[in-house]
Amino acid sequence: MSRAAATAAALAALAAAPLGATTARAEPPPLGATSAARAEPSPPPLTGALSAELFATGRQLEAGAQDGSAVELDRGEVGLALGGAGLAGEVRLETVRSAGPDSLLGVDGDSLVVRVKRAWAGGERRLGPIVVGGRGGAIAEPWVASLERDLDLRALGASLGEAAGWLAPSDLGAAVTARGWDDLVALDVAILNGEGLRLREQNDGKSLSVAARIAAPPLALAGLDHRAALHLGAREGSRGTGSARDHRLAAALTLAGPIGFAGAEVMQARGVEARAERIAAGVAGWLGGGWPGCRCGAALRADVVDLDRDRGATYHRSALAAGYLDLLDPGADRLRLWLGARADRFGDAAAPGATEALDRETYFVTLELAAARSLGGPP
Amino acid sequence: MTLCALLLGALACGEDDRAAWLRSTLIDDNRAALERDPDLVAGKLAKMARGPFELLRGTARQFHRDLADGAVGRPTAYGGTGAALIALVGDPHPENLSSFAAIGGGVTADWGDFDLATYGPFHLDVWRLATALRVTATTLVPDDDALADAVARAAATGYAEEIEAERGGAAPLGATAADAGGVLADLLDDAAERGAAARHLDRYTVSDGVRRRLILGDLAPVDGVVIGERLEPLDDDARATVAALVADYRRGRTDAAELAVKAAARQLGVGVSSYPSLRFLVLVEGPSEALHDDVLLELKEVGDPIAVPGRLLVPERRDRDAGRRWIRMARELQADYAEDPRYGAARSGRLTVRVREVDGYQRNLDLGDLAAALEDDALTADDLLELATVAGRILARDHGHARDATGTAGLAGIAAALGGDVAGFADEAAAFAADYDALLHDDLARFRALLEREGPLLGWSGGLR
Repeated sequence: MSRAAATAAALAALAAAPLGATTARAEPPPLGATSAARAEPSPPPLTGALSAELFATGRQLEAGAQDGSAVELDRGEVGLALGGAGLAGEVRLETVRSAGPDSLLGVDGDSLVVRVKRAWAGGERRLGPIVVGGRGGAIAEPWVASLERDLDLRALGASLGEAAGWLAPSDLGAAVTARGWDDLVALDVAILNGEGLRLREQNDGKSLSVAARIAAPPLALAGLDHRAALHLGAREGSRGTGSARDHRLAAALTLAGPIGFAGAEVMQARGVEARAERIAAGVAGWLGGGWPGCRCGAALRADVVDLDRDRGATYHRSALAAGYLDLLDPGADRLRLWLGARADRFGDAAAPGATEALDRETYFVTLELAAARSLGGPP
Repeated sequence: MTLCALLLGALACGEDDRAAWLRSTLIDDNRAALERDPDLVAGKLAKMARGPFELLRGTARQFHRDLADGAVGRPTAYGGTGAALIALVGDPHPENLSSFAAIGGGVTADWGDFDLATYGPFHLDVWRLATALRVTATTLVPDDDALADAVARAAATGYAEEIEAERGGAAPLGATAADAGGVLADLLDDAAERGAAARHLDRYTVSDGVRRRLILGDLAPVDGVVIGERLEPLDDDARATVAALVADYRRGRTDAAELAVKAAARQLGVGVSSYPSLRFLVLVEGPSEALHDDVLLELKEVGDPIAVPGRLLVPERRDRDAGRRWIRMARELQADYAEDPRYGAARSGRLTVRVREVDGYQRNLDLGDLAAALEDDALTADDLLELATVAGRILARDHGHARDATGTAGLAGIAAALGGDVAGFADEAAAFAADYDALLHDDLARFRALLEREGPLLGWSGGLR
């Protein structure tokens, strides 16, 4: 199971797990294992998990007149998830730059500031082989959350839809979730404001986002479990005061596990950046794995995005190759050093005002940290 | 069929899509002002609805979005790495041409507003100028498409010829009254007279021989919700803000002792895009305690520049705030100008302003004056063509000498990108201007319909949806 999947499953299990049933380091118990515990007469106390993710990157940019280097914090997150007795909740904080790309003044210059990424409360109830739940607040966008469970390359870039700016990772709203058969099937249906976390609601319409994940039974590679999954997603939404169409259709196939990982994601966006008439589409593919018995591995990723299907030469293509070295023994925690290169190429009409200054090569070193710890436990 | 439909396909682009985009982006761009003072935003939107030129002035950010994401933008054949990070005015248009006291005496013409100034491909400024001049022509002389096309072409031709001339070793355009031609020459002559007489103080202040004070109230007629020009007394909050801004502005200045505040007022009704921005006129003590040398400072709120496609974050921010960005870009771009020694910037909380002295030498070209001159047969088609040519040359001169984002003067990179193809460059700019002019006229109908349907704030509501 991938690092992201382990974290996601651990947090999900917390919602239903009795006290002490979950440890963050170990593989989380299957949801089916919790049903017996629920039958115990005394209500179990809440338990929790603290998790953190950090991606820090140094980049050297080769872009003609815009050559340069920078150190950036691509992700800095800490989260607390609580669960038990059918109740669940999460508060997750992230760091963001306080000024936009063309702004000069944010908070005290352009400081990194902490904001709420997710903050929700909800509950779950088991109905036979299915666990049905609901949550409300600042919740994850279903497609982004579904894919991140099986995207082991998040430190090198967001999934296609998030990277292209077509989906925000979280938004205000409410969701109904269903997971069943040892988490082989998952469905997430959310009603969201549609503006992401950057803006409060701008129009009267709400966005409906649906993501489904259908996983195959665990597949053994070099004696270690790997999981293949099919993801399907759709969003029917509106954006901005003008209620511009903001629809998405997506599908992905993923394979995630400690030895090898691979995947492909396709997405169509109907309505982009409040331009309702615009149709964009993209495909991303990734492949990688670690050498058995070695703390090292490599990954490849390629993305092709057509920013406007109605015009020619509006593509953005990128290719990335990276190698990694794990600084910790394999386990639930990860401290990984990535070294890689990425090339970006744009069609002549991708951003007409930009001339050829868009094309670039980037060389990077990324430090990825991911860790989770359970809080509390049986006396 | 609208131009939008022609460009994007009738099935793919309905009028409502473009109207929805206009509505969303205009509200996004005015969000801070809407929260602070919705009545002023209503005035701005009403002013923008007056005609295509006013709409053009109020939609500079929409123009650049259109260019950036390809809604009507198209690649230029005149790009190049050396021409991709030129110091841009951001919003060059006829009413942004101002008169200033020149270094060698007299008065010169140059750009006066750098609210949107940043770095980017040079053709963005040229296309904006060509479009603005075309819209000027169609506003002043409706139904003369040949003239409109010629005016847009003249701007780009003037630009390219100035670049070519300077590359060949010619001295940059001086843009004094002798160089500037009819329309600008009149502006400069008038400015020279007003400046020498210090008449600017008469417009905004009155003296009883003992003390000078600001004239409060309407200085120009109100038209519906649109304020002509008004000086309003400050409330306690505004007074504290101005005091903090002036204190920040004076910090480290050698003339700080001269700048004791005598009076201050909020200035309303000026500009189109910046109509709802905070502006203060501050009367301060001059070099002596005499009333005749009192100094009038203008403090104007400055926000973010235009977003330029492909501008990477490395190297990134070089200014502490938007006010300092304004001042630095002005100093970089303006030429042959006896720089206002009182140029400066100040901050108070999240408010950042640029500061400059209001003097009689500064006058903006005014479309209303051009219309009146046309009415009186004092303005001809040749005058418009000459204005366009000189405006293009001024833009080229400023692009050429200003250092780009890499610290290199822009001339060589722009000249290499043009490759001597003056006619081709002018054709490209004129074709774009014609398309955008048509879109702008369609947008005006959409915008007026939006105001009619959604109300004076385009349906914006600060409350819950």
